[in-house]
Amino acid sequence: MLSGVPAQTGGIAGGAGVWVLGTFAFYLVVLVGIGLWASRFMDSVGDYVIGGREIGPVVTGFSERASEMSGWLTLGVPADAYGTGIMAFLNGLGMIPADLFAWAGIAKRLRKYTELVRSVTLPTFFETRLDDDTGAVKAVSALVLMLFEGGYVGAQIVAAGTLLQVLTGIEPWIGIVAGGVIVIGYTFLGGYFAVAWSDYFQGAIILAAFIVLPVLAFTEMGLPFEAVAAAAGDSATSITAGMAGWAAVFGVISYAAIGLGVPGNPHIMVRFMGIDEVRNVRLAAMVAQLFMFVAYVGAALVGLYAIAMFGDGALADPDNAMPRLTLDLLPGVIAGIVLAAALAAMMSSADSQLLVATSAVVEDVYHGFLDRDASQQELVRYSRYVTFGLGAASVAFAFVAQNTPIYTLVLDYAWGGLGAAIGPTVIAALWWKRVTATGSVASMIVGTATMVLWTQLSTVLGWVGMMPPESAAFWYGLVTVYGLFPAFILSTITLVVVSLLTEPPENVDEHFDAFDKPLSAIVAGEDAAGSSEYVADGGTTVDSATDATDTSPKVLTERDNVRAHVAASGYWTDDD
Amino acid sequence: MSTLDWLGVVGPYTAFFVMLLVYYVWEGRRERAIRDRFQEENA
Repeated sequence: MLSGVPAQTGGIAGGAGVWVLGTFAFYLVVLVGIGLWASRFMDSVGDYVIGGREIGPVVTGFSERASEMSGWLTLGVPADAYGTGIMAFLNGLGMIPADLFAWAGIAKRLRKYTELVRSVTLPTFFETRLDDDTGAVKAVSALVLMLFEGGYVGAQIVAAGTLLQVLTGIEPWIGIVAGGVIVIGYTFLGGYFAVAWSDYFQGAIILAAFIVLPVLAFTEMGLPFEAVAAAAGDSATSITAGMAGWAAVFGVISYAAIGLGVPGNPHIMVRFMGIDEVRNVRLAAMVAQLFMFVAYVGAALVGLYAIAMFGDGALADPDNAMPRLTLDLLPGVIAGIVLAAALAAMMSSADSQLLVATSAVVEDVYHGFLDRDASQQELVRYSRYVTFGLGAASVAFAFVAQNTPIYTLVLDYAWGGLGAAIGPTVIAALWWKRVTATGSVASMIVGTATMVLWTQLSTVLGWVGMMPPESAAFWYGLVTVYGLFPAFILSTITLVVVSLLTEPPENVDEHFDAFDKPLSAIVAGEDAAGSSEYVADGGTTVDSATDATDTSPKVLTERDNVRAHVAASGYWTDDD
Repeated sequence: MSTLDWLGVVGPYTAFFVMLLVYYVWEGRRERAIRDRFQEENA
């Protein structure tokens, strides 16, 4: 069968069209099937957003990575390697350790605490942890999420549309609409449960793609470095891309600073909340980290082999490096599967991000402010409407932003914005008793503003004639460094200073007890006392004006469900 | 490629891999200690 398939050397689409399209069609059928299957098990907002906390460690580990990989990894990093050479290996310099620190320092605490307070979104977590009865933290964080996650979804749809256009020759707007329909479609059907499982499937394909491509290229030409140096010059085989002094320092800082975005990106944090048992975090972390090693090394090697095979600058659009190498090295059917993996990564990111934006609107704005008594059925229905509405808005944004490079779009306006605005508060809420709601709001505003403004800084300075020349290496490097670096620092400083100037919540010690005890111990204590010591956004709330207790279920999980889950998990009783 | 460039490529990934192994072992021990302590307190 395979012997009858032509090698794809006749152009980007070449004779592979029917095979590539066939693979896409097969992939979409599987995707829709997963969504339909998952929708049978979904009856609460918690199921819709975090899979009812029933996602196992391997699936969690894969989906945590696949949800973040996106078009940025599959097309962007190979394109970066094609443009800069071996320095692209430094894309993992910040990401890999930052992800490990997140698993080690955030995952368990966030998982335990959000279950105890029945929270499924970061804004609700912030509100409860920071004891904010003004609603300011929830409102500002929900706004940040809507803004940057919406931009993220748009960026993924641009990438998906670009890939579809490159492969099939269709008009860009058709590719964007098709990408949007796919993303909205299966997010709409199954929510996180579908997303986590399809991410697992997609993650496996991505991983295979980044192993197979470099191995095939290696068998053809050995290591690429000599050929890269011959084609693109010695700077392409320099770890600083030929830069020295401050230019090299700020270049390395820019790559490392990408990792600062990990704690602030809710589509990663929501994976931590959704894992089935706390003890499985360790295994999930191992899976996610090994995934990253392979993916980052593989993606950079793909870009380097593209230089070696096609020559430096031979590709008009560097984003084509990965699809071109795929079509050149693989027969049609296999190429179709590999390119479907690229599309899958984009879809995977977009649907996770769409869900986070949806939960910000439905849980934090609608349910939190507009209708606190909404039923589960109503909330699930509204979640679907909002997913559709935000998805449509993202398609419109993708259409407007279709000519902006995907690498820049993601890092500057989605990843970086979330990292700077949300990240410091996530870390502080879990580790620092002194953090306050006012400090958090100030940090989010400063982080967002700095990220957006720093990205435009060189353009603005250029307009007013104040842009430092490249010879002024320090100042030039500082102005052009990746904005997340200064934005994260300023956001953190703001958080610390404003928090120290304001009063922290009173019951913070009780909150921190949750981090150091097994879940079952805390729930047992709750039983003995007869009532929860925790502010439960989904359980009972006390009206401060009347001192009346409202016992109607609020968000997603009844207290009994939490007890039952803890009892059923056997977390602290199993031997291993 | 110079030795420094090779170190720049291989060094961080090696260090990250060692960090991962340390985390995996350390986290396992920490969990076991917490579980033992919890069981003792409830004995």
